[in-house]
Amino acid sequence: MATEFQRRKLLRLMAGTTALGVIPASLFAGTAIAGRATRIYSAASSPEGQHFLCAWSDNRLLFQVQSPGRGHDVILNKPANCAIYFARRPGSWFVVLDANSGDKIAEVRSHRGRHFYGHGALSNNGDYLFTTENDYEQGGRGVIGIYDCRDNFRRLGEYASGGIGPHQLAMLPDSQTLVIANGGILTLPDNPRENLNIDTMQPSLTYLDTTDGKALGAWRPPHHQLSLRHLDVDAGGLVTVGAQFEGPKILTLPLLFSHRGEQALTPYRADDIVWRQHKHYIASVACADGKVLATSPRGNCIGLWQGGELLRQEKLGDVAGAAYDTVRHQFVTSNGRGQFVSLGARQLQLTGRVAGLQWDNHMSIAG
Amino acid sequence: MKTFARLTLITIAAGLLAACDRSPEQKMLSDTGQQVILPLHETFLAETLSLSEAATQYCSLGERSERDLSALKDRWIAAMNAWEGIQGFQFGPITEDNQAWKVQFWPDRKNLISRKTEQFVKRDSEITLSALQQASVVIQGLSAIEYLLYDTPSDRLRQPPPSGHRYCLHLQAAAQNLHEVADFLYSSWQPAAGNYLKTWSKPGPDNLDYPDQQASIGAVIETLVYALERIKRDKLERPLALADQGQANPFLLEWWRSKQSREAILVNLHSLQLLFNAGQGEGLATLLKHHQGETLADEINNKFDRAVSVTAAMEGSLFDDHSSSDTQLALIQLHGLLGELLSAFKRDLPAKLGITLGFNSNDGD
Repeated sequence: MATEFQRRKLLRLMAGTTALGVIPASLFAGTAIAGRATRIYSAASSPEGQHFLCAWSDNRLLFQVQSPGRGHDVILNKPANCAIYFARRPGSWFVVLDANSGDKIAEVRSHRGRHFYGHGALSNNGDYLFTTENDYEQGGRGVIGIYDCRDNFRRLGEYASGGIGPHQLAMLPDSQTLVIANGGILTLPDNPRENLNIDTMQPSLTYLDTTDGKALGAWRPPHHQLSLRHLDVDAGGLVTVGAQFEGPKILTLPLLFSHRGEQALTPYRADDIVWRQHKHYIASVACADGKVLATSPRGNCIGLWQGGELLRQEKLGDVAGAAYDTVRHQFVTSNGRGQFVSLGARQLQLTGRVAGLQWDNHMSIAG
Repeated sequence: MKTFARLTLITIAAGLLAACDRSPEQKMLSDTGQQVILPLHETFLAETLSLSEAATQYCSLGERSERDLSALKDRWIAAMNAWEGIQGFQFGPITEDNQAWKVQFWPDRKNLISRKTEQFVKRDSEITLSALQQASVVIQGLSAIEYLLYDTPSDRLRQPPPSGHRYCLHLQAAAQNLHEVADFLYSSWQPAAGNYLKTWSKPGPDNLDYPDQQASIGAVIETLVYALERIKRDKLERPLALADQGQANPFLLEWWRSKQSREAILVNLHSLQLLFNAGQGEGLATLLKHHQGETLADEINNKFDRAVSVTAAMEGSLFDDHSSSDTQLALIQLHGLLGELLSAFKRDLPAKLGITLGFNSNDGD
């Protein structure tokens, strides 16, 4: 928990954030990221097991920086013109690179007794970073670490995430509320990939007031082994969360849910066959243009959804990363074959490829 | 004649030169495609045609004997066996647009095949191929035909017409639909249609599905892994409570109505071994030898041989006899061999060939 001092300070800081509200895109004009050709940021690994933090544009790598380990997600802090790459869970680092040059701005190690879960989210003015973390010394309690982007990513404190195994999180358009996918899976550093509470796990979608850390509500999926992992929020504040099913594989359950306000999680509607094709696994969720794109590397498929209904499904090997290109007005995906593949109007289109690199789970695009 | 002979010689020589130029990887892709993938799809095409013709003939009979029905069941078994040869493919046209589901709906925990077939047959509208294709995939293929031939509709189908007339219409429509699916799968591999054979066997940077040879070869290995896992987990562990999977439930066996579960596994194993060896050609096994993996190739073939022997030697059907001590012993043996084969295809073989099997799909987060 944040100390009382930190809480009061955060309250003041967050109040400032709220007052600023959503930063209009025009404020980014003149920053190095704005106005350029599409840039894609992603962690990657070579087949030989080397790990990199990369940026790609115009069919070439802008930079390829050696990484301290395997990465997972990357987010862009546009006002600060930097890319923040997160270690894959159980991660002990996040690395901040200059978004143009790839020069290292900061490498932050996890707090004592904590490790990262691979994701982070920014306050809408870019001043604060929130990360999902495991308080493993307290038996695996999920926490949200708070960092000051303007002060070399100094850790300001933490809030309870409202569950075990917080994974991806996002800031709502109100600039004050975080939505967190608590995966429910207990892991500890000694056996980091082992699920220690498969029978009792309680995943949830939790909302948190960033001004005081107060839990605003938690919603559970229809099956306690539907681990809620990845999410995105559209401009209107509608949350879409993707699940990975840890229960008996013979069961077929919806893997995408939408949520808003006080309503229960609403499952997306599709035939069992569609869900079976996803092989119990959603990797990335991206909301834009009134639609939702979800990827499944195990099912080698991409689903484009609208209003909870499947609009279109495409096949792509090992596809995982997903983001929306606001310049070309289309979704782009990445995969373990080094490809960036766009969802064209009628078919998939190869946007680019880097031979010898495997793009990791998530990506971000700067327009 | 002289000119023709010269041309033939030139053609043969060019072919030989091209063959010499090909890398072991290219040869593996070519032989696997030509000697296994195309023939297996062709067999499915031929057997579904035969089943469709047999269904039409059976339904036109004025009198129907047990022997007639039995002959029709034989055609269904042949088509089902042909399907089992390609069932595990994780690449190609079979992965498009629910093709595999149109052929087989399994496992069927909610008994949808029976419920939906009865609903379809008893509804108040014409039963045609087009109506079937608009209906749920659950009732479109082999699974529905198995229900018609081996479950309660079987008695009605056995009676002289007009008994079971609407079941017969469903039977014919499903058999025809099955053949259309088989035709789509086969032709999609051919140059005249989708030419997936070229897509898969000619990898390159501009090839969306296969940007390099590793992706094409990886697709074969992933098929082997997927199909072996499916046998081990879905066809054995879950229905027969192997590996601490709780109570046995033989109704979760594949083809439990026709009691062909064991035979299907046998066909799977045989086809997977063919795929590994590219038939008589130079397949993954040969490629392994080019990478100092001769021992591993021999071990894999030895395990396939033993798995086939153990499966073939079981007596009776898995549905009826799965709990007998002899069958239990054989099942444990088979289960162990499948685990060893999986370990070889997941770890040892990719390591020898320097291929990464999936990345995000293998261990995402």
